[in-house]
Amino acid sequence: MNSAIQNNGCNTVTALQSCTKAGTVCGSCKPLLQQIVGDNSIPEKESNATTLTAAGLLALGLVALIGFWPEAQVATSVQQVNWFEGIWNDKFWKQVTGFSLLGLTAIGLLMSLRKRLSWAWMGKFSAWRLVHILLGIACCLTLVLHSGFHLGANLNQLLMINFLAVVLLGAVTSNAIGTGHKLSGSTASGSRKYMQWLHIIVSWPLPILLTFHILSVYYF
Amino acid sequence: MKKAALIATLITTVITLTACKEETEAKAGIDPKVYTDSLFAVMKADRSNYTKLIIQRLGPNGAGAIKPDEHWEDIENGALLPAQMFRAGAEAVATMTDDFTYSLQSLWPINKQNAPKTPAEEAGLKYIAENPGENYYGEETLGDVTYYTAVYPDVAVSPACTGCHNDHKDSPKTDFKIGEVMGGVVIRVPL
Amino acid sequence: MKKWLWFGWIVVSLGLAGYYGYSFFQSENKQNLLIGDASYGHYQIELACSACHTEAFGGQESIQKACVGCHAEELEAAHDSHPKKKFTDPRNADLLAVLDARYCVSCHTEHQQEQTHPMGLTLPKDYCFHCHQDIGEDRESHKNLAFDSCASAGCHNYHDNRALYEDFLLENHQGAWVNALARITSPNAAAKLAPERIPAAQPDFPQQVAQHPDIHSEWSASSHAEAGVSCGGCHSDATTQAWVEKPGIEQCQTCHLNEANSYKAGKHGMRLAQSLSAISPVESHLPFKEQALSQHQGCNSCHGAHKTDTQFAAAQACLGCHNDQHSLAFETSPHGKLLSQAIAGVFPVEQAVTCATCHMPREEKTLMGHKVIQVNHNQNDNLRPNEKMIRPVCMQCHNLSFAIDALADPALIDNNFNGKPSQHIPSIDWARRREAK
Repeated sequence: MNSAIQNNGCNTVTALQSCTKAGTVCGSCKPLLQQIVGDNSIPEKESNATTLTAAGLLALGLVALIGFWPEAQVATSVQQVNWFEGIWNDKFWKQVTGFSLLGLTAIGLLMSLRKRLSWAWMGKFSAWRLVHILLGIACCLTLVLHSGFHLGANLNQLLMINFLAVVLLGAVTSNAIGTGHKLSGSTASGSRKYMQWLHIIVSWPLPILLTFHILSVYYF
Repeated sequence: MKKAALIATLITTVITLTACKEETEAKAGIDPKVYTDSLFAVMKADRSNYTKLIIQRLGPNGAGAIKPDEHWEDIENGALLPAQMFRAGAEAVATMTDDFTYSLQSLWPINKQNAPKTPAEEAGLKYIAENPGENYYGEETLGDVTYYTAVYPDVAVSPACTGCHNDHKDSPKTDFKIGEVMGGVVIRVPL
Repeated sequence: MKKWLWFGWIVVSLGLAGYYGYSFFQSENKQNLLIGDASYGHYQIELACSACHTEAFGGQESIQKACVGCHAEELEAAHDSHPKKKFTDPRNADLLAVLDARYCVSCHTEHQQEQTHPMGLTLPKDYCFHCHQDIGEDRESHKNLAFDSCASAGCHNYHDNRALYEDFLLENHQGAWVNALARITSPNAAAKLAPERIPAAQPDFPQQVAQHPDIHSEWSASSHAEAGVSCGGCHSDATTQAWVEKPGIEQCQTCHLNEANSYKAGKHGMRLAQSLSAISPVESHLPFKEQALSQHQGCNSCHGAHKTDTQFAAAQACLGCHNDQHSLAFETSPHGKLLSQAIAGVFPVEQAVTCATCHMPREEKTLMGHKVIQVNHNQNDNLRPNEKMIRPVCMQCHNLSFAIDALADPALIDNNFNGKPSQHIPSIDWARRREAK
């Protein structure tokens, strides 16, 4: 990086990015690049910053809703079964919503591919990030249809708590990214990194829990 | 041009082959009418034998050894009424095969569950009542399956049949006479 | 750093997968996979997963097989009003689309305790509406009746209507509410059948006999002694012939096979049928006496070890554990008073009404080629819906109308029938009115 600045004259953030590719994927190291080139201007807003913040807040709200909203009760009369019960308490629709959740999660994970493998052909990272966050919100809504606000028991409960924790930390991360430009460079990138890793680490058990959840439904 | 000709040939071949296949399949099976007619012959034979050889011979009009009764399970030496025997056969068949089903129905049933439910049943029962001696054949789709549905007349053969139906408090018709069509046997074969 | 994180992820995943994989495919105890508590009917055996989930990925069919495996006989005996065979005809396709009555789980879903009504029903109680919504057109008397009252008011049941069908009501509408006390036939199944199963050779344990002269003398007056069952008959292992200090159901069922089988079909013995440890009151949701909480159910819980006292087994034994209102009210109830009078010698004990008279009734059966009177040790057999009791039990002494009214009155059941039913169920009157027309 230093050699790029000294030998190639890359002394702005944009120039440094183009010759070293640093900070070109998620952009979280842009404040660091600013420090290196001695740029003291206020960090740039992330693209879609407002949407990211709003989506993060929405996701936070949804997690709280799923966690604390009273469990949906079944109707006391067959003549009054509403559409919501017809979805969360029906064996067919339970599978539809369940596999939708799996699909939404899988699509959301494409963002990681874009980031880790730097596959530029997939399009802009920031677009994938936005999709990732919006899919997180879609997951929350589908989860409501899948569970009817029931948190489950044993394996299912662990999965539910884990899923909600992942969404919660994702939402906080999203807020950190969206509001990063208002904080000082190092605080912003620090908190954002920290939250991102927390979000990732907490999602570790998810694939296994989900696999066994699906397996258990058909196994028994 | 060549391409078009090739495609045309391919399409023709596929159509011809499919048509042949259908034809051979149709030829291989029994005509559903023959199939249901044969089934009905067995049912009718068994039913009249049970009525004559068991109920008439051993029942109150004969040796008095058995008591034919609607609630046969609840009385000592109780025996199924012929119609119940017929139904028991249909239920037993249902546990053995899905290749055909049959039931005894009527436009004037004692048990409402045995009234016609589907349009074909309704049409069939009306047809056999209005055209004595004839059977009804048709097709219908129930659930996702298409059925060949045949309806055969069930005729009052003994005073026991008419007497019981005419006197029963749940019977919608109380003037059945011997020889009259009282209901029909509906046989269904999935196509 | 990042490499370590990836390594950490793999370790965590493998660990988790190993833990759940073991639970799934190896462990006997699959508690951590339970999706919810089982119903009151099955909670005792909820950890014997394979009792119902007979094969992996078996789906609805294999579960249905399991239901039928345990419950087919009783449904057959109950002249089930809605058997599967009534629904398989394609003409019922429209009904099945609403409620698939071919499968037990359509109405009795398991592991959904918060949705479960009495009798394991997991549908709203007005489920009859689905197929019988036009009943008012056929039956003037049924117009505007609430559909949740069909099966809860003492008039109909989904499966067992042996005491409730119209012609039965008509045939039994007469009689005083209580008749002369029936003299209940003495059971003779054990006396007739058990001796046939006594092992030819019974090991001798002279040392133990010498040590317990009191027990030996108690035994010598028992029916076991009379039948030629010595100490070794019960206190020995069938294969090794070694001394067994506390014989259990394995020993009892050597001779009392039929009793043991019916016992294992009920709540008292159902865990034993699944090779689980015997149930203990502390695991139950019913109220039990403090001192009984940690005891384990077994033949000896009611039947003394060396003294055969069926009178004790028929009431005192039950009341030693059960602590609900109905049990507590027994002694001061009309039935309980009859028992005290009989014990005092006012009339023969065969005319007394005990807990077992109703809950473990004596039944005429043909077993092993003999016509016998056997005590049905499955206390659940006639318990729910309670109309199952009407014919074999209540009508021994009471008329049908009283029996229907009494069993439909929860307060009266709680105080153990101390008084008259508070409500009259009009089913017999309606049937008679229709008959008169």
